[in-house]
Amino acid sequence: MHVRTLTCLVTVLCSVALVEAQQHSRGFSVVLVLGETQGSAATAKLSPAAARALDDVKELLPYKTFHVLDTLWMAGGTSSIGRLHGSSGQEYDITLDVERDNNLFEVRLRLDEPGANPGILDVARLQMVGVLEQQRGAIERELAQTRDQANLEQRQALEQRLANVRKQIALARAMRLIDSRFEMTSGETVVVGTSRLRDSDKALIVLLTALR
Amino acid sequence: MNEIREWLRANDPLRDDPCLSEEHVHNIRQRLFQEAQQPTASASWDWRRPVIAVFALAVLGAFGVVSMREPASVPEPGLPQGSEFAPGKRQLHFLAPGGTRIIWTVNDNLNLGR
Repeated sequence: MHVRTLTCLVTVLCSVALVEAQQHSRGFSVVLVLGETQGSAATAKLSPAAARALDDVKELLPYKTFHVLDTLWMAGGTSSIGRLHGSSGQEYDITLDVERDNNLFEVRLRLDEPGANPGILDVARLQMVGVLEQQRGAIERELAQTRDQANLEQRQALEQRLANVRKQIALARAMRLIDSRFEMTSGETVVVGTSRLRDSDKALIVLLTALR
Repeated sequence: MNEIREWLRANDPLRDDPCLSEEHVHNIRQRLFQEAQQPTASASWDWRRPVIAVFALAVLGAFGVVSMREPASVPEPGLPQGSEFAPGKRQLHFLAPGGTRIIWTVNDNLNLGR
């Protein structure tokens, strides 16, 4: 009787462990790539899946070079956030919302510039940037006029105001670059990118691989 | 002429057959009249057919309205559902020759050079 109960218990535990193992994801590999129409820099070493995906899309995209800016591993939980480093000190916040249905992942990928407020329309945001740029110009002119004057405190106050306005401009310019929903299977790499339609000499590309 | 008539009568196989009784003839007549006065099966079918057709059309119409109101199960390429994307941004889904899926956002306000 005890042996039978023990056998049943072990069977149930093994089944639970198997289901847990199947549901557990090894996470996602994120590669941030800058595509450019100019230049001839060699592409940095990538994982086989990401390199294969990049080779595949090269024929379709108009970019000659692909610079790997940053790589990141993200957990396969329901929601995870990470920060990627771009060129010239630019940073990007990446958010992955994942729902798993057997071997299929329903993914929502968002790429934001830090401080981006997606609730504000681009038109309003750009108007705000315009107003702040005017303020910045006025302060810079005032600073130029006071350059010859010996009033150090006034200059320091102006420089402080200028630094604050520059921060506000950076925040006002920050926007949501990518917000995409898609499905992917384990081991698949999906290429998610953004660019302008005209004068599109650069593109920001995310290679997202669901790790097996 | 009379000879032929007589010859036919003489050779009639039912010449000696007894006729139907008056009662039997009356019953047959009554039954024929009753059948003629009752509506036939084909007449009732003709009356029901347009009703069935109208009902079928109404059911089909109802299904059509319901299917038009329900969202498609397969998401269409374009703006993601529930996203806070502003107008002016468009999203394209396409496939590379090797099968890699590409999801591309076109954003005319994008400035990667700054």
